[in-house]
Amino acid sequence: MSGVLHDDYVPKTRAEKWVERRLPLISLLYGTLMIRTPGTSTGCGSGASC
Amino acid sequence: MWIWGIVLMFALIGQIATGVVLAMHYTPHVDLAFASVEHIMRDVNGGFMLRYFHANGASLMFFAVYCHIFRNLYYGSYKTPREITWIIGILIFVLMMGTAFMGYVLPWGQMSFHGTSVITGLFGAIPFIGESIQTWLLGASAVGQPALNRFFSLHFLLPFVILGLTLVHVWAFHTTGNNNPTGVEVRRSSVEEARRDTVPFWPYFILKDFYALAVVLAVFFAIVAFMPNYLGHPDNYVPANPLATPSHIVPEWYFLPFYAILRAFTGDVWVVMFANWISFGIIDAKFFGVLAMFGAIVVMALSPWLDTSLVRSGRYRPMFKWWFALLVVDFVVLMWVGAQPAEGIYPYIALIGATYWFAYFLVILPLLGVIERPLTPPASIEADFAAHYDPQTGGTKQFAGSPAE
Repeated sequence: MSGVLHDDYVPKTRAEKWVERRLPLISLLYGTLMIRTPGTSTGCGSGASC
Repeated sequence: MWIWGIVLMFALIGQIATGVVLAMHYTPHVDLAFASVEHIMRDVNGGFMLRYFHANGASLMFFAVYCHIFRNLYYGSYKTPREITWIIGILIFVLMMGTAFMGYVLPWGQMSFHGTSVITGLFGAIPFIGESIQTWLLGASAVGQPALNRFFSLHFLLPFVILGLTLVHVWAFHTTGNNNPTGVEVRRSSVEEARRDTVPFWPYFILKDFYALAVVLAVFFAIVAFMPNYLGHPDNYVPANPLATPSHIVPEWYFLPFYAILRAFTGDVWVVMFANWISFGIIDAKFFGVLAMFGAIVVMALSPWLDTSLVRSGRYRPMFKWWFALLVVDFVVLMWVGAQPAEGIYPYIALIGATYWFAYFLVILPLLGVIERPLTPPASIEADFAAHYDPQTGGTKQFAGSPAE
């Protein structure tokens, strides 16, 4: 929206991938409930300058 | 057979709509419940119609859900990648059973009262903690006002839980894509290929679903209008009387197969005797029956992991077809025998039926995947269509030659 990258849910374990392929419930909850913090996926959070 | 989803959705919404209005006129009190149902039938405008719709709507839901389940079992819809859709479906089925059971208590007739005593008594069979669970469920040591209150509350709540789960169920199969009679997945390597394996939702699926719904509802409304009490029990038109037990307590028709499994395992069955011996007497016949009844649903829920065949659709599985047909017959026989008294030859029939149910899921399904030689499924849905229908007209090949014929 603002052009700033923010993190998305990425399944890591086999079980997470198994569930994600069948019912992407965790990514929906993650995308809906998690507060999108600019820069966390690029390591720019916590006040660090990017 | 690919129509029951829309029928179930319609039935669920119908049950919620009629149930909300019925709840406006119903009184959950042991002295007033029966009379309030009569008030609905006689005084409330259209009340008799609402109640008959609601009572027979439960039967419609179960009829549709059994067709839906057996369709899935035949076409292997539970197989990977649709395991979660299947498990959510089973959860919905279990919640439906709970909801229907609690709804049947509400009119507070003879069968409501004594049926509740029998079914909640099953929890009393659980060793050590059973009686505490039963008391906790009933809110008292016996069926009475606290039980009626909480069953009414839960009967109102659970349909909304079912509705929520239904939406997740739909979401799950939209994630993986629907199964189809061939059991072959839609090709997704290109949009063009995917288009050739599928048809648009409008008009094909919409018209198919609503045409089927119209036909099913014609039968349903004929039953609601002309024979609304056919599936009910006359004893439930007698007010509940704890001092007069009906001679023959039977649940509604849709519970009968599982009720038959519950009663099948009596103390003189060797499996029960063995379980009793190995558990130092903890597992008695009653508890074994309870385990078997719930186990019958659990083994069905485990189908995705018990079915070892690499071919999904039963259409291409010559041996599976016969065992599956026997399972359907078994289910109907269990339903019939569940309504018979537990004496004479009936317990033996129930035992054979219950044994086959477990054998199908625990032995036959895993073994068939190893010993059966399935036919080769079509390479794609398009190839199957081309083999049976004229690609230009969509008509069957024998009529595709000349319209004049």
